[in-house]
Amino acid sequence: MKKGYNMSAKEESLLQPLLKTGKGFYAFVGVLLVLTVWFLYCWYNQLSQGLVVTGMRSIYNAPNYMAYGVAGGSPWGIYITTFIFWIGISHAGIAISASVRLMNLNKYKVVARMAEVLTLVALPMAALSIVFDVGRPDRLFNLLEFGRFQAPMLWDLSAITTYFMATIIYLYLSLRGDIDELALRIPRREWFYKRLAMHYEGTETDKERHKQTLWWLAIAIVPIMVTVHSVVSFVFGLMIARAGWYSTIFAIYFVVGAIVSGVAAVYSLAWIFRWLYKWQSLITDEVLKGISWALRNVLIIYIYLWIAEELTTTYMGPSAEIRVSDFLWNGPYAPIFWPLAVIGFGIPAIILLKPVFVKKTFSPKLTFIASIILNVAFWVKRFTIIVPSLLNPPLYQTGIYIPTVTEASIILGTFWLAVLLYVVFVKIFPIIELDVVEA
Amino acid sequence: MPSIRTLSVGMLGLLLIVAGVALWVLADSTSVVVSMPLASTGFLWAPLIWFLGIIVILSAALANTLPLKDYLAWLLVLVVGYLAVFVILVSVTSAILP
Repeated sequence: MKKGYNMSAKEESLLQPLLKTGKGFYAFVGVLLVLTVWFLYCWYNQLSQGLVVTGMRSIYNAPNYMAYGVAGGSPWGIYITTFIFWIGISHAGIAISASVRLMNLNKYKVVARMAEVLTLVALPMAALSIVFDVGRPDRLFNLLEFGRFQAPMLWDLSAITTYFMATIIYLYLSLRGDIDELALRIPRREWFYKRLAMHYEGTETDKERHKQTLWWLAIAIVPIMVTVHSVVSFVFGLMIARAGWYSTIFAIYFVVGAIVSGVAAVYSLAWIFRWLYKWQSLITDEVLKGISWALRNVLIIYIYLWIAEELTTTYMGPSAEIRVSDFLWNGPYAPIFWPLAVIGFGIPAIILLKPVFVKKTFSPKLTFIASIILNVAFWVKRFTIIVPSLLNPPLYQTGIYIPTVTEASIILGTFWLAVLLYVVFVKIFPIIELDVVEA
Repeated sequence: MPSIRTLSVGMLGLLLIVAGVALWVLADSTSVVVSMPLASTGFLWAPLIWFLGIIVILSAALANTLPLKDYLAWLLVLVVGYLAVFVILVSVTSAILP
C-alpha cells in the first residue's frame, strides 16, 4: 500500500487475492501445472502418432490400423463435445455482464467481472478443442488464406474471433479504472499497473466516456453472443443427411443450453469465491438467489425444448431419426442418456424449483451442487447430441465410440489450463469491480 | 458523441469487412456447403481481410477512450496477437507432425 493511503476493511477484503498468497495457492498451482504438462504430453503424443490414438476411429467395424474416418465411426467425439461446452460456458460470461450494464442490475455487479473473465478463458479453450480435432493443425493458415465462406468451420472462426476480440476490449475498458486504482494500492506493482492503465486520468469526463463506450459495446455483445452459439448449432443443423441434427429449433436449443450452462458456471464461481474469501457481505444470499432464479427459468425453457425435440423426431420422424433416438433410449448410450435425464437435469430442476413451492428454502450450498451437476450434465448432453448421430448415418450403423485415455487427458487439459489462467488473473486483477465497495 | 477518430476507425473496419466478404463471396464460384475449407476457389487471403475488419471495427471502442498512441499500441497487440496464435500453432505442430 502506498504511504498515506489507507484501505477500508471492505477494500482490503476485496483485494485479498492480490495481497495475500498462502502455501495452498502454490500447491494448487503446482498441481495444475503438473496436470497441464501431462496434457501437453498427451497432445504431443496425438500429434506425433495421429488421430489413430483417439477413439474416433470405428472400433469394431474397422481394424485399428485403418485411417481416421475411413470406415465410419465417429469423426467428432469428445473434442467437439468440449468445444460446444466451452462455447456455452463463454456465453453467459460476457452476456451476464452486458445485461447487468444494459438493464442497470447494479446488485449483480459483484459477479460481472467473474463472468467476463470466464468468457476470456473459455473461448481459447473452445478454439483449442477444434485444433485437437483436426488432423493437420499445421495447415491452420489455410483458413485465413483459402477459407471458403460456405464452410461452417469458417463461420466458427468468425464467431469466435468476434466474440473474443469484443470480450478482450470490453474487459479492458471495464478494468481500466480499477487498474489505475491498483497502482495506488499495490505500489510494488505500480510500474505494471500504470503502464497497463495507459494514461487513464480518472476524471468525471473520462469515467463517463468509458461508461458510454461500454454501454454501446454491451449493445453489440448481446447479438454477437446469440450469433456465436447459433452458428455452432448450424455446424450441425446444416450438415447434409445427418439424422438427429436436421432441426429448425437447433439454434435456439443451443443458445438456451449455452445460457443455462453459462449461468450455472457463474453461480458456481460466485459461490466458490464467496466461500474462499468469506465474501458473504459482498456476494449476498440475495445475489445468489437472483442468479438461481435466472438459472431455474432458463433451465425450464431448455427442458421444454429438449422434450419438444425428442418428441418430434422420435414419434413421427424418419426411420434414421428414430434409430438415433433408439440408440440413446434403449441402445448402447442408454446408460448415459437416462442418468443424464434423471440425475443431470431432474435433480437440479428439483433443487432449483423447491423454493418456488416451499418458501424460504433457498439454500446457496444446495444450489451450488445443482450448478455443478448442471455443468457436468451439459457436457454429457453435448456428447449425446454429437456422437449418436455420427454413428448412425442414414443407411447403416458404424460402431460405437469410446474415448481413449489420450483424448480424455487432452480434454481435461483444457479444464486445468482454464483454471490456471483464471487463477493467474485473480492474482493480478480484482475479480470484483472496485466500484462495488464505493457503492 | 463519438469522436472523428472513433468514426474513422469504425468506417475503416466496416470497409475491411465489406471488402473481405465481397472478395470472399464474389470470387467463389461454388455453392456447396462443406464442413472443411477446401483450397480451391475464392480470392486468396479474403478471410483474413474480413477478420482484420472485425478486429478494427471492434477496436473503435478503444479509439473512443484511449489516447491515439495507446490506441495504436492496442490495435497492434490485437492484430499481431491474433496472427501470432496461428503462427505459433502452425510452427509447433508442423515441427511435431511426422
